[in-house]
Amino acid sequence: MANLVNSFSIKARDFAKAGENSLQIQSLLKSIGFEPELIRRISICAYEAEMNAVMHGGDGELLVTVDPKNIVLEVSDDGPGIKDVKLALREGYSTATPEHREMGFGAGMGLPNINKNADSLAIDSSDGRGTRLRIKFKVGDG
Amino acid sequence: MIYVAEFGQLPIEFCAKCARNALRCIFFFELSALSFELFRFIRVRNRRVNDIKTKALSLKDIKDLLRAELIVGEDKLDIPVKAGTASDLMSDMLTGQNSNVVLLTGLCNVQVIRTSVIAGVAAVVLVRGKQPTEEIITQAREHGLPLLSTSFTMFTSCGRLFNKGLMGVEEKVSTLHHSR
Repeated sequence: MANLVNSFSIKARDFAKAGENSLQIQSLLKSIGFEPELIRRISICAYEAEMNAVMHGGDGELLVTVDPKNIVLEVSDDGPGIKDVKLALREGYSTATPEHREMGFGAGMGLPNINKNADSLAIDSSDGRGTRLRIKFKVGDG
Repeated sequence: MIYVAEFGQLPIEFCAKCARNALRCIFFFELSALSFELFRFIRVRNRRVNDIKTKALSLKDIKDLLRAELIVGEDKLDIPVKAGTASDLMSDMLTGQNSNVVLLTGLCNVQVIRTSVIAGVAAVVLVRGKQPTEEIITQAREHGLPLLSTSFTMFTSCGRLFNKGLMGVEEKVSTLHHSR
């Protein structure tokens, strides 16, 4: 199986469309026929990352790479970046605005939840330099 | 007189001891009977709880119990709903195992639909008679997610479903924590 690469664009503060890309990724993975539990974990990570980029980050891109052994989500945005990555990974730590909370988000569970559901997570970010997440999932036992 | 008193005292004293012993016997007998009853009660009660646990409701049951209006999902009234959850916090819906459960929520925006589809929720019930916008209905229809609206409050809605045997998601959450 050749690698399958799909790219989706993320627009900052576009709450009307926020999450649409992740839903497309979910149906893409369903159509390929992965295990429901794996699809659930990937969809949740994609959605959390997409919502983070829309709410806190800037315009960016969501890249999905599917190969026989791994599924990799790469989410990048040109927003203000994460000041303290270690702090952002702590459950309950949040920099959400009242607007985010009105939509039902901002509980400080985004990054910790990605970390919990992914097989590996790499965060490349610093103050004023945007954010790049690389979220990796193993397919089957591989 | 002394003899009488002496003779009289003995049996009385003996009888008092005897009565005390008898009372003790009755007390311990009652205590054991009571604990037996208590154990039996707990056993029966546990059995009842287990009976309830296995009970899944259909979407139609939920619609009837909540006297809800079905906005999307005419074709899905017979789907089984394993458990229920209630939240206005979409972040919470993304943690833990929420697939095939019914979500009761007071939040009425398009993110409720998207989050529910991502989390694999079976159906969404808007409480306190909230009416979805056209955009929300279109999204729900597009993703085949049943959408209902009930006049009951969140608390009453949960109670009505719980009372008929629909359980929460706790057990599944703890097994998920153990396995991961």
